[in-house]
Amino acid sequence: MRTLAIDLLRSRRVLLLGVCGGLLLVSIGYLALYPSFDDQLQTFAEDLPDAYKALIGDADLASPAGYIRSQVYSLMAPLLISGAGIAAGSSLARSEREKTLATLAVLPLSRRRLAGAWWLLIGLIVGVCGVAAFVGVVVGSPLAGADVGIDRILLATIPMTVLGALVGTVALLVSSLTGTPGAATGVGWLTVAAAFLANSLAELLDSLSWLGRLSPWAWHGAGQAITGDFDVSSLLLLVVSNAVIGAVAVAVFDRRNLHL
Amino acid sequence: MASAAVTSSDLTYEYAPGVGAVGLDLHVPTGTVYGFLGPNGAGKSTAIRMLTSLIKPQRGSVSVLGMDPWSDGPALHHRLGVLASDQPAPRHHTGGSLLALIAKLRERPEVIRHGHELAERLQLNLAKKGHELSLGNRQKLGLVTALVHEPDLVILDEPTNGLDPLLQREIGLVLRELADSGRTVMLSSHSLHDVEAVADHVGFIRDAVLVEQLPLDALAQRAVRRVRFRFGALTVPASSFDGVPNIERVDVADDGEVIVQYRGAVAALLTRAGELGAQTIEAHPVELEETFLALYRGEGHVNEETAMAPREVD
Repeated sequence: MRTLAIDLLRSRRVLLLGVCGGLLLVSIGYLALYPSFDDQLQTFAEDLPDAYKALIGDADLASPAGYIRSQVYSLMAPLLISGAGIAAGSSLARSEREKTLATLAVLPLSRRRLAGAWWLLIGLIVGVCGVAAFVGVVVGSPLAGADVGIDRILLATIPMTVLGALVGTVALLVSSLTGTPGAATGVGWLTVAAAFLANSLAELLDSLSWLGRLSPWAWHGAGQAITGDFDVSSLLLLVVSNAVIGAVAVAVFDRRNLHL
Repeated sequence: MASAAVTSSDLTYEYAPGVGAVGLDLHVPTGTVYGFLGPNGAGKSTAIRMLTSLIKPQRGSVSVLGMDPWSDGPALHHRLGVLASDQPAPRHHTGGSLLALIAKLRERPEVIRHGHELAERLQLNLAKKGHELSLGNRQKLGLVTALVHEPDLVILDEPTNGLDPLLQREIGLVLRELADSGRTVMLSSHSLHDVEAVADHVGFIRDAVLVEQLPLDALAQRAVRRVRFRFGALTVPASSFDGVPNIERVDVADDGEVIVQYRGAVAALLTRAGELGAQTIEAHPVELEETFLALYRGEGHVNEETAMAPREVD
């Protein structure tokens, strides 16, 4: 399974390089710019509508640490990592549609191992992306004048990475169920959009606060560990959801007819 | 009945009524080349998908090398080589790197050496990446990956698609050698011409149903044959052959040449021709293609209903 997953990863190195480059650009680039307009941000942050603050995870834009949360962990980095995860998860269906799976499907590998290799691929891709985001923030935070420990950056990056893995695993489930790459990609992005919206609405409206508890976007905490406590239970929710959906995806692929 | 690499009973997978493969009773003898023939869309690929554990039969049973393809997939694929229809080459792999990956996944290091030998024989450049290969070379790479672990059974879906005649011949030789060494080959095609040089047995599928399955020799026995007799200055009327068994038709040309179409044993015909004073005889090759086309056209079982179209006498 590992051999196959590494081979699949190698074949997606351009995607990986692109996303990692994007993550480094976003984290280092944004944070390096912070000193040039931190005074203006104070006034700007005070005038921001609550709705916008909710969208960026209620981060304190005026502080360097809050700026890191708002600019890296609240939107851009999780979106990039989620995109990489979705691309990895939907690639199982793409290989079936393009029939390149035919070469692998006739090897003495169980279907479970095949699907498992793709699941591992998602983990590898988002893992490397997570490392890129971590490195970017470690390098970028001193440039922004933030005094954030590496351990806090790590604790903020891990849930974001697992969020990427989770939406990738959702795409894998749809790949396993349907063999349709468009559906896998679409449902993956729909999951991201719904999770983001649910989290934002929960922050805005007390009556919808329950939505936050259901949203994987809320579980990742938008870099909460940078400025506050690390929520272990939310990380566990992400991990358990990932495990359950991944196990279902593997089981479904084991039983489905492949039209190669 | 000889031992069989593949047997099935009522094997069925229907995408829609009459579309797919229905009620197949396959029997592929061990150590033979079995040509699985039928028009495009007849159900060949669906049947092959069931044999190679890609789809689960909706009905019936199947045994491939004594195993159930659906439940014994990984164990079966140790001993099975498969080329899917229109199988693309992985874009990011060269032929060589694909062989290395297969060797690792099969845990068979010798696959690399054997793969290079096969590639050399098929004149395939293993240094090129999948997306750089022509249709024919992709097909060659697919064949190499199907044969590289020296499987007991090879199932090939339209293996000669896109290949030139010389290469088709070379692949035929490779497959024949496999069968001669005791392995079994099952290959599908829409053309009898593609398989008749190498096949021992053929099965015909049409409209999802297996309509015939027989040794190629038996097909030849059932085929309509033609002989021409010359009687010198004698004029022999067609009625002279009345009562001779196995004769389908007799035509007499203006120059006195007699053309006889027959099936099965020829002894009685030759005896009668000798009695009538035949001076020369010219036998024509067996018209298997005509027999095959009759099945294509849905004219039923060849031994009962197929008739040759009247031929123009020259």
